[in-house]
Amino acid sequence: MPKIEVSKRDLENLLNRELSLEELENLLVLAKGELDGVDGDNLKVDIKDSNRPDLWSAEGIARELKLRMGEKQKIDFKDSDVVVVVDEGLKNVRPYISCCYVTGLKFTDQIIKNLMGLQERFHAQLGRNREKVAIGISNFDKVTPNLSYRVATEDLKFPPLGYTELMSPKQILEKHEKGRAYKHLVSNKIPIFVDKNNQVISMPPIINSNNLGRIDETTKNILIDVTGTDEKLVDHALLILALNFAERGGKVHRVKIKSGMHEKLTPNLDKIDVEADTNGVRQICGIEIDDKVMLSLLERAGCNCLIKNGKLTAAYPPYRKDVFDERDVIEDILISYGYNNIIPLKIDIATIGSETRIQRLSSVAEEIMVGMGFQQAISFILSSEEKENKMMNHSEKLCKILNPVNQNYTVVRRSLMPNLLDLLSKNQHNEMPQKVFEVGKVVLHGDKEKFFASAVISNSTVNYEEISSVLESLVSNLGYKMKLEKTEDSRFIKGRSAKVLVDKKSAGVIGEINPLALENFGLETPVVAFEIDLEFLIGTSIQ
Amino acid sequence: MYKLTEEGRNYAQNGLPERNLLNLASKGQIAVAEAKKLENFSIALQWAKKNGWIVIDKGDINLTESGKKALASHSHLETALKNIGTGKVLDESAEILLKRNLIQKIDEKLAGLEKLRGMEVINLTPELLKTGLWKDVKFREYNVEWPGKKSYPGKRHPYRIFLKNLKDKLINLGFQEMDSRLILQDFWNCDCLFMPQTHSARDIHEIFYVDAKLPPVDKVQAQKVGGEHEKYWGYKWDYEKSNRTLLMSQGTALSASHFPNLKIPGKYFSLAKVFRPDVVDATHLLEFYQLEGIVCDKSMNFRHLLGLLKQFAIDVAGAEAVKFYPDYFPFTEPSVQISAKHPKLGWVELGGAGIFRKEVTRPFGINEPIIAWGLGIDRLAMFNLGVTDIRELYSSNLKWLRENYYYAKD
Repeated sequence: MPKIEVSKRDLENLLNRELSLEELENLLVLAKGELDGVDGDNLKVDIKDSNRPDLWSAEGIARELKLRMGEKQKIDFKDSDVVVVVDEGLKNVRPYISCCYVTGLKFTDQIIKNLMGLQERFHAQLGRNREKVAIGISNFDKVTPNLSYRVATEDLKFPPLGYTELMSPKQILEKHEKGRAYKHLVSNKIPIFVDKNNQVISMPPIINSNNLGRIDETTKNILIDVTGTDEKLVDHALLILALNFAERGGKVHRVKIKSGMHEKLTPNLDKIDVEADTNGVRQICGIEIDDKVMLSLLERAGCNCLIKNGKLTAAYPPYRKDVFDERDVIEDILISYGYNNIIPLKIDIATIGSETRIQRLSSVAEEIMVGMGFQQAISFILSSEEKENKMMNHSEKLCKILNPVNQNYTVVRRSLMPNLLDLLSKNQHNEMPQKVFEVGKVVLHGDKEKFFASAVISNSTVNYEEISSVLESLVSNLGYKMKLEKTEDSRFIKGRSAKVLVDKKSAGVIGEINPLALENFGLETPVVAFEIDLEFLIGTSIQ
Repeated sequence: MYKLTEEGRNYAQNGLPERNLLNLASKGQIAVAEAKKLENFSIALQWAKKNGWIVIDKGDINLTESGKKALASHSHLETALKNIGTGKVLDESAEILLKRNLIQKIDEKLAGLEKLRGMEVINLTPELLKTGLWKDVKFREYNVEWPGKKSYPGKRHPYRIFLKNLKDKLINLGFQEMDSRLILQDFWNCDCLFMPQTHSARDIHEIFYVDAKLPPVDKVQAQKVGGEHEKYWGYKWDYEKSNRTLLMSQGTALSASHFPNLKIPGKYFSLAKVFRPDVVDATHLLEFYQLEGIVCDKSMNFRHLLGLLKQFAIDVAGAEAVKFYPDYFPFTEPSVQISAKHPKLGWVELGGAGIFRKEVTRPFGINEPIIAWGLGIDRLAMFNLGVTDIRELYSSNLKWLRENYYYAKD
């Protein structure tokens, strides 16, 4: 979810009206925005729609809100004679460029701040860290058309932004901070954007030139280039930038991109056409709206629509790339109508509620353990190899997280006992005896997810028989018969552990915890424990 | 040692029946018919005859010589009956009294209790009750105002009770619980929920991948889903990527994984554990619960969606009012967020919902609208359990667990 910062005063200027915070908060909803914080004039806004980059800026929010408030929208771009010739040598590196220039701008700190914020968001979120999309803004007055996007030659030296020293593209990749950061995005063919006089405008996606590619508050006319590996995204990003400058009063001039045999004018202003069945729309909306109302609601989404014989044809503005089918049309109708103007309706489908079989069995197991005086514990599913194996004096394969973020949580637990011992170790100052159990999911190495039940008793005089009688009561009260078979398990004292057999198959373990494990958990009181597989029980026949 | 039975006690007080008959007959010859009025006549007759005290002649009872003698003295049985409490009883007398069920044996040990007669005792014991000695002792008075040593019953974990209550409410509303999973393929968690394999929409959260091995997803089915991706998002969908295994990161994935077996109409829910990489602190955990589910029926529309959310807010979360906001999820259109006004917490974001996109349900042959909803419950849980740090929901503090009475509150 993009989080953006906007100036309230700036937003009010863009909207041509003053707004109280409450009014603003209510309006923002229409652009799927939520006011997340206020610091004087500075507003933090969460834009929930990660598929609407056109909304990720103050200009974009203003554009949407004006429409929703009933203002008409006009996209008035001029076609210019400026041409960018694309070198096919960039085909396997960074083949796409879209370009336009904007005149008559009055730059302010605020505008530059907004622009840089949006550029950053586009680079990071839309552009996958400049791979798919990177944006360059240059001073159009210093540029001599026509322009060329081509593979750089080694003799072409220019001062990168912020430097006066001349550097070759290769030197930039090796020495410049940005060059090193984005080196992986170019091959030995380094893209370069130059004007008619072979003056470097920018070296996409890495850095602008300090001469042509630098703007400040005195700049009136700018050149925007967007390059990348995803043609649709490149076009989309340029269109949004152009619209934002238009929102600031700039005049946008489209530029012709020539790539081999292909020619196109950017920004692309093709409308997005969607068709829908008006009855289908009404059915999903659940509200009575006639054709006329439907058209006016869609107009507030910037949509030019036509209804003929129950078929709605909607032409969305070119920046609404998120729109795909009837459902998108429906959401726009509902947003314009106002979610809170719709009367909720109770669902009247008679169905019988139920719990899953294993959840029912777990509940019964919990009840039995509680009845025997055990306190229930709930612990995290995520655990560490250290806790599951090393501290338990055990070694078993675990289901590992491939991208852990915290050393205490690197595996999925395969047993409930480590957490129960951990709990006991934190409660040694509390009254004895301590009887604790947990019922919950574990994951065995591979793919097996299981519901286990485990219990521990800690007391200065505790012994094996105390826990075995608890286990026997649990299993028999769940309706099964069990047998204990002597086994060796490094987690328990030798000669004091057994396998729990149900239907002749192993369904768990029981024993007196090995003092090595007790020491690892810092426990100074003996502990007896068992663990059984409740899911296994379901698979066996009830006695 | 012996003690009297009820019958024995009666005779010890009112005389043996044969003695009473003897007394009656001592006043002169008496007709049997007349003597029958006597209490326990048949017992009296039997024993008087056995003792040789009487003879019956033509329907009349006459005293014998030994009967006359017996009038002047106690029989050995009567003596035994009187002395039964003292222990000084002849064996043969005791044998007859036992046979006649007038006395019963008591434990030798209990006999030792005699010394307690008239004393103050601490405990009321089964022996005191058996011997009847409780009537002749005094019980020491206790300090009944001291509640005693603390004891700890076995209890469910408060968080578990909270979760169980939520589940019960859903079940009462007619929702069927879906089997839950921790580990799923990328396919169910992301592809089915229309999150493209490359697009920024996948950044709405991050995911924990694991080294578990699940069987590959059905390729024919997967490619239908992939086809919708390619049409809408415009990229080359990769089957291999959809087989990566992960810890479920959004509850809706569980609903999606039930698409192949969905019964329509139907209402389904799950209390799903989901995992997301984050920094663990007072408000964030790497794992948390989402209460989520779906409603499928051909009649479902947006108003039903709002109606269901409102019902959850009021019936499940105890809200006083609700507000709806437009929202975005890649898998639903239209989408909505619900805020609920909690009597104590004020306005809180309760959850998100929407109607599944056609692109999401179509690959599974489902053409009916499906309402999908997910509620965040941790803030509510923290409030109900009275904790301020989210980690305390999983508290391992035995003192707190032992003394928490959330059990009784809700």
